[in-house]
This record gives sequence, structure tokens and C-alpha cells, in this order.
Amino acid sequence: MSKVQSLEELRKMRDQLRNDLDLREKSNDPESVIQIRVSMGTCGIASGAKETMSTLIYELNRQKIPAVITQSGCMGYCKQEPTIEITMPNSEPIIFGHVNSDRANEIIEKYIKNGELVADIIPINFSTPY
Amino acid sequence: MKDIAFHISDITENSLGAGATEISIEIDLRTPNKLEVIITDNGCGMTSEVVSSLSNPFYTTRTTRKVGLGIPFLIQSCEQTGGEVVIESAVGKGTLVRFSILTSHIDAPPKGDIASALAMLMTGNPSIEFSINIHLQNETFLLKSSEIKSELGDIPISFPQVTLFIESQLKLFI
Ligand SMILES: Nc1ncnc2c1ncn2[C@@H]1O[C@H](COP(=O)(O)OP(=O)(O)OP(=O)(O)O)[C@@H](O)[C@H]1O
Ligand SMILES: [Mg+2]
Repeated sequence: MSKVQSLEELRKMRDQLRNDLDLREKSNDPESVIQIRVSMGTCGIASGAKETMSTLIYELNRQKIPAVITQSGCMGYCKQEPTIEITMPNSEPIIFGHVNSDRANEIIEKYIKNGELVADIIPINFSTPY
Repeated sequence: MKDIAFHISDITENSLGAGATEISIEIDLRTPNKLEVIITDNGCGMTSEVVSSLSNPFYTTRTTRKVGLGIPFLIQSCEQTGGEVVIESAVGKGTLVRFSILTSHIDAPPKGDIASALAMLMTGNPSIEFSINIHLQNETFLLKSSEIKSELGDIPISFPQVTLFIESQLKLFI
């Protein structure tokens, strides 16, 4: 039975992550890392949520933006899939609908990096899921 | 769109929705031209009445939409290739979904990016203990959330770097 061949590599990555992001302190305070949840119900996956998540993972890694990316069940916004929720450090969560890969990139550039809420990306109000 | 990676993510989504804390995903590539997947969870399980109504899209316990599509889609994708879907479940114990696709059949769905889907499931659901097994002709590759986490120590498994690493490891096998 072969296991992860390069646990060694994983350890190196861990140490580098600690250095790069100064995570030893930051991980004690999860608030200091951007948190992104991607809605992964059937409708989400069918409308491309995996591709959206994959783009977020690729870009945030490439740009070394400290973030954790998790999945959530169907958030109930089936008509606005793919849907993601972003919680910036010390901020309220905001939900974005219709986030394909292009929009994911746009959200990184405008919202995550500059705090702008661009016109064509409408934050969905929590109380009106449809 | 309804490639095999889609079905794996979607069926695992049911396990997550059933409150599972442990999910095993086995991919068996030992038989030529056949791909078999077994997803087992320790979620709430289903009664035998529910299991037998699963091919009907009008059976769903979801509240935001009146039809459940995941399993009917899966049955379609498998049966159109001559494969099958078998579901075993026990209330309070958990559920096993086994499906097979004959990959050489003209109607076989594409594989899709299975490595990426698995990596995103594992790192995207950090509180779930995943066990991923890939059976190849001469070897079995095994990856467990607990092993990755113990290597990472205080670094969260949900960092993009970790997902990309796991994906690259899985890509060697699938
Ligand atoms: N692993 C499981 N454990 C417990 N119950 C399950 C499991 N898988 C499916 N079910 C039950 O079967 C129902 C039908 O599943 P199916 O995937 O077809 O549709 P859905 O999950 O309800 O909706 P959709 O997949 O379209 O989002 C679910 O609503 C759930 O009640
Ligand atoms: Mg489902």
C-alpha cells in the first residue's frame, strides 16, 4: 500500500507557510485570515462551483493571499449558483451570486484586494434567499 | 457537465448533508474499462422505504427545492453505460453508495477532474475525516485527512497550498 509519497514535501510546505504568512500567530486568531465558503449543493456543482473553487484556490495561492477556502452545503440560492460567501478579517460575511471563474477573479481583484463592491456583483441579502 | 467528478462530489454532498463525520471514498480502477466508486458515510442513514424510492426525483428531504436530482442523475449516468448503482443504508448507522460506469461505452460520461474534486472535498470540509482509496492494478493509494492534519500541525488543511498539494498527489494515480 503506497501512501502519500512525499509527506516530507508536506512538512516543508507547512514550514514555509508558517514563515510566509507568519501563521503561528495568525492561526491563533482565525479572524485574521480571509474565509471563503463555496456552496456545493447539486445545483452549485452543476453550475460550476468546483471550477469556481478551483480558480479561487489557484489564484489565492498564486498571489499568496492568506485565506482558507471551505465548502458548504446548498445555501439555498439555487438560482444564483455558483454562490460564495466571503468573510474578510473582522467584517461581516457577504454572499456573492453567479460567481463563475471570471467573476471569482474579479472579486479577488476588487473586493478582496481593494474592498470594492463592483456593480455587477451584487451581494445577496441574507434574508431573501430567492 | 455531469462527469464522474461531478457525481463523486454530489454523492459526497449527500453524506455531508446527512451529518456524516467520517466519509470513505474508494475508487476502483482494477477492472479494465470499468470505474467503480464506493462512497461510505456514518451519517443519519435511511430506511429501506426511502432507499427504494431514491430513483424517484420527487423523493427529497431538502426544503429549498421540491425535487432531489443527485441520485436520479447518477442512476442515469451509470445505467446508460451498462453500469449500476447500489445503495445500502441503515438508520443511525450510515449509507453506502456503490456505482459503476463502463468507461468504454459510447455513452460513458467523461471522467472530469477527479483529483481536484477529491482534494477540494478533503480540504474544503476540514472537520470531516475523509479516507480516500484509489485501487490500481498493482497498488492501492490511501490518503486520510487525519494523516495530512497531523503533518500540518497548526496550519489549517483548508489553505489553497494544501489543496493544490493533495491534488498533485492524487493526479499521480487518477
Ligand atoms: N448518504 C445519505 N445519507 C442519508 N440520506 C441520504 C443520503 N443520500 C441521499 N439521501 C436522501 O435521499 C434524498 C435524495 O437524494 P438526492 O441526492 O437524489 O437529492 P437531494 O440531495 O435531496 O437534492 P439534490 O441532490 O438535487 O441537491 C435526500 O434528500 C436524502 O434525504
Ligand atoms: Mg443530493
